Amino acid sequence: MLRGQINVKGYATPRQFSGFQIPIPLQSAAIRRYCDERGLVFNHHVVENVFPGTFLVLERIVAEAHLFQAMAMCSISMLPNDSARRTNLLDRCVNVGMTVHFLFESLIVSSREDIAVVNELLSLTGLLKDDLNRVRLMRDFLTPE
Amino acid sequence: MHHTSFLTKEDRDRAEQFLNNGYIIHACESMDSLHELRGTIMNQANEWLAEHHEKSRIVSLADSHQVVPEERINELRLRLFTGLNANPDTRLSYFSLASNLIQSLVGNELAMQNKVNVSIQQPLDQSSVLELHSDVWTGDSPFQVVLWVPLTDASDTNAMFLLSPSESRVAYKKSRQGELDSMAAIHEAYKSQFRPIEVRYGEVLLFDSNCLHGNQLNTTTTTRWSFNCRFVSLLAPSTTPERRLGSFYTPIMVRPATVMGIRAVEALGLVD
Repeated sequence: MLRGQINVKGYATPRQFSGFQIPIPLQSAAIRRYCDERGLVFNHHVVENVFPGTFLVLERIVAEAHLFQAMAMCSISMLPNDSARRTNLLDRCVNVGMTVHFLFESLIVSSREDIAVVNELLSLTGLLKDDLNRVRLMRDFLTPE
Repeated sequence: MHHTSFLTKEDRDRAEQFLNNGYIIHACESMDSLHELRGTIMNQANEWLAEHHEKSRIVSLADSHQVVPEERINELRLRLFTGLNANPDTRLSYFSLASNLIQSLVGNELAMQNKVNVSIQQPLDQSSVLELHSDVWTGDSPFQVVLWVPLTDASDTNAMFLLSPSESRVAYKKSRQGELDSMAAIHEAYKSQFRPIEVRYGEVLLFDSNCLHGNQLNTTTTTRWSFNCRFVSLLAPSTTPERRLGSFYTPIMVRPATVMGIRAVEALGLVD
């Protein structure tokens, strides 16, 4: 690796996230393109395990964060649902200076303020996930009998 | 409906106009911001011209077609889009053009589209014609409004047209029933009703994303430049994964009660 280059580890998941089910090659291609457009060095992606609720592969990237300057994945919704666990994971990245890039939300986490932004977005989307039922409730309430 | 008695008369009149027509035109609330945005766009466009060894410069956006080659207009537009959105203050400036109007019609807890879009429609340029469409039909939130701001006076065929909410709903119903089986068929059925919405520089247009709208071939002698960006109530439901907080919108106004509620819900373990 040349001095000054930013080495990015790609992270993909076979699990559904945020309503999307995106083939791994497409996630990887998106990350590669993201890196190319920004002059970052793409490192071959790794893939999370398929069984729900585990982040064994993500945790390994974070444990080896000193090897990379950055990690990139498609969306913040690929992170752990549990906010304490998610915050701890991102904190560890920030502490060793590894930035985390999220393509869909165009977010880069490099500080605790950035972690707070991610958490707020995920809290709001988590609260709003039963969207169509809320629309029914609103419609029924507002429609005159 | 009982809740309208809590609104001011001004808000009620505005609401009625907006819900009936599908749009409202209003004076820009911050001319300083508008002038600044226009100046920035013009400077960036002239930088692009200089980089591409074009000798001429844009003096007036309405006459930009005299110096910008038609075959490179999209290249320029993408450059301006990137430059505009690289500036972290752009969205705040854009919101200030109609912040009271948006809050009146949408609410005071808001999310805003992540990017501000730039549109350039040069005379006789077929490539910049935006066919009839509805943002909501292609997945945007049904609760969304679009703030459309011209940088040049828009009228006649360099303005956009919009079908009313009621006509748009009828068109949708006919398409579901098979009576109109393509967007082209819908266009053909309704083209006699296309009326350009005249909006002058210094005014803003806020419209209902559910309405079918588009533009036509610009047969005037002036180029139309405009911005557009979408706003939605922070707590409004989304109907597709792609058009939601984070990937498409970012919260811009979150009131303390919502923050308080989020903290409580998490502390109590009420959501996964």
